Amino acid sequence: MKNERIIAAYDSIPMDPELSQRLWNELEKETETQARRVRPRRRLRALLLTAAVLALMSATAYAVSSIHQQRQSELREELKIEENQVTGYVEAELPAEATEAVSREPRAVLLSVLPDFDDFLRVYVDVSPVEPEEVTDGYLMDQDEGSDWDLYGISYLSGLDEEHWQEAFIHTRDDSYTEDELVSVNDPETGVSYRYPHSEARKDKYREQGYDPETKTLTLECSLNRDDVPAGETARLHIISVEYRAKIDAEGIEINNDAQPLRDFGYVEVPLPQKRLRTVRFTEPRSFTVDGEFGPVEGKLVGAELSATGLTWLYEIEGVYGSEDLLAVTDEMERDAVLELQDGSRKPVSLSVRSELGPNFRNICGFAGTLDIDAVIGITAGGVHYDFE
Amino acid sequence: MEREWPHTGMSFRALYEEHLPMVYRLAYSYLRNPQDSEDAAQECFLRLMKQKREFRDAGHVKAWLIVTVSNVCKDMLRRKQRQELELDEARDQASPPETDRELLELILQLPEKYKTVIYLYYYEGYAVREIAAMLSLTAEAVKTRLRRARAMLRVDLEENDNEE
Repeated sequence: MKNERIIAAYDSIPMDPELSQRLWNELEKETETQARRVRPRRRLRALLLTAAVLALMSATAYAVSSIHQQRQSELREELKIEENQVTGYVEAELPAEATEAVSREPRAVLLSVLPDFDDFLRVYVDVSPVEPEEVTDGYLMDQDEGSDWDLYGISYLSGLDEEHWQEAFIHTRDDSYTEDELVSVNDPETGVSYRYPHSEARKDKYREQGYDPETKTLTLECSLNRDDVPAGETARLHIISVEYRAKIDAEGIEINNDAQPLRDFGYVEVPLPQKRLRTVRFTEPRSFTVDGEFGPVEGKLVGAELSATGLTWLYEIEGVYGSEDLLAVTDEMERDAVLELQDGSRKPVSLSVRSELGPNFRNICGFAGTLDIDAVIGITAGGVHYDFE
Repeated sequence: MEREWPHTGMSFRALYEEHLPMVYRLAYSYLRNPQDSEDAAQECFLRLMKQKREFRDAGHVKAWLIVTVSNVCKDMLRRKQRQELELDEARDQASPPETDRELLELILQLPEKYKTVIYLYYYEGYAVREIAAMLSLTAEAVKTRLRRARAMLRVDLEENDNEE
């Protein structure tokens, strides 16, 4: 319904009569700049491809590829960066040598950074050279004919320093885990049954989705916590691979803790982008009461803070005496949480991380991919529906 | 840049000419200064230029531009850490705006979430359900925002929330 007064008010916004032509000129300039940026790359790629053919013909061991560019493009697609209007996703400028021959020296190339849930960053890195038999992770198992079990694998680690090593995961397009055959092993010492994914299916998946045999390049997904980063605009992330070996027999499990780094891929400079948050306050939060240690504990889910990669619940809680109380009441409020999207689909939300217990306690849920936060219209949690105003 | 956009029957230039005033006005209502509004408008059309999705028709492009300019402006405001101006008690009790300029000033001071619905409903003439779909809101939420915005603007705007 149009309204004349509102129309007149908006029409009184000053608009430079030259604006249309000026902006159009800017857009044309930008288009030309982009075209200039693309053309030399295309020429360079053509030259490199020619060089590759010549190199192959002369039986040179080098291959040529723009694998990093390809991976960047795949990641952008997989993470639905444009479709979900994800802000804060940063693609790295690829080094000039990234389109050249396979390096004989271990090296790491930063592909992109995605602000993850809470204070984490998801950092995508290509490492090379990685031999096909190294495309595996720890905890893989080979069953011997006899009663002994040998475990061998390679762990990829990333960290700001040795104090902060974390496992870096081989990037795959899908997160399915069930295709692995799980093998149970009983540890006679502890009585605990360990289940190990049998290796082949997983290795195949890594080789198909995260590895380029031609350039011997493996794509890793590393995690970095902003809290660990010293003040500055970037963080230096170190990446290595280490061997993992273990022996299981009637005596128990023996893990070789003296494994030396297999390869040191060096460092990448990681920018620290900010993410966009959508904070929603529920207009009619419902009270939940659970039996606490010393009496009833009352909690209200008063809102949620959404980003493209995760959700943090906002609470008002009274009567808490200990951590059990806190966990009991928040579990109840967040039970079976599901986000409702504008297109009618629903996205289950599950707990990823709890913050430290205390007055600023938070439960944080991370998403596997990304989400268009403006497309969320409501949420159901603890059996209560909340509209997103 | 002169290619025809699929399903719209319009060239990029024609889409630009048609929608620039709308994009600029909406940007101005968020950012309140010409330079930032120009930057936001440029960013929107750059995004449109790079857009690979297929639009259903010209109306779909317009809706996409409205959502995009709102998001671009919100991001710019966050980056600049500007505080959203809330209408305070004293302003609520002031006399109704008499001139278009006074009414515009009140619109510009509305909290972000009310500006877009007021613009879309009263300037562009979209129905409540269309605005709801565009902004990923429920129809009830759009109506609530319209009611609150009307109260803040203190002008006699017609209420016809049922007309969807």
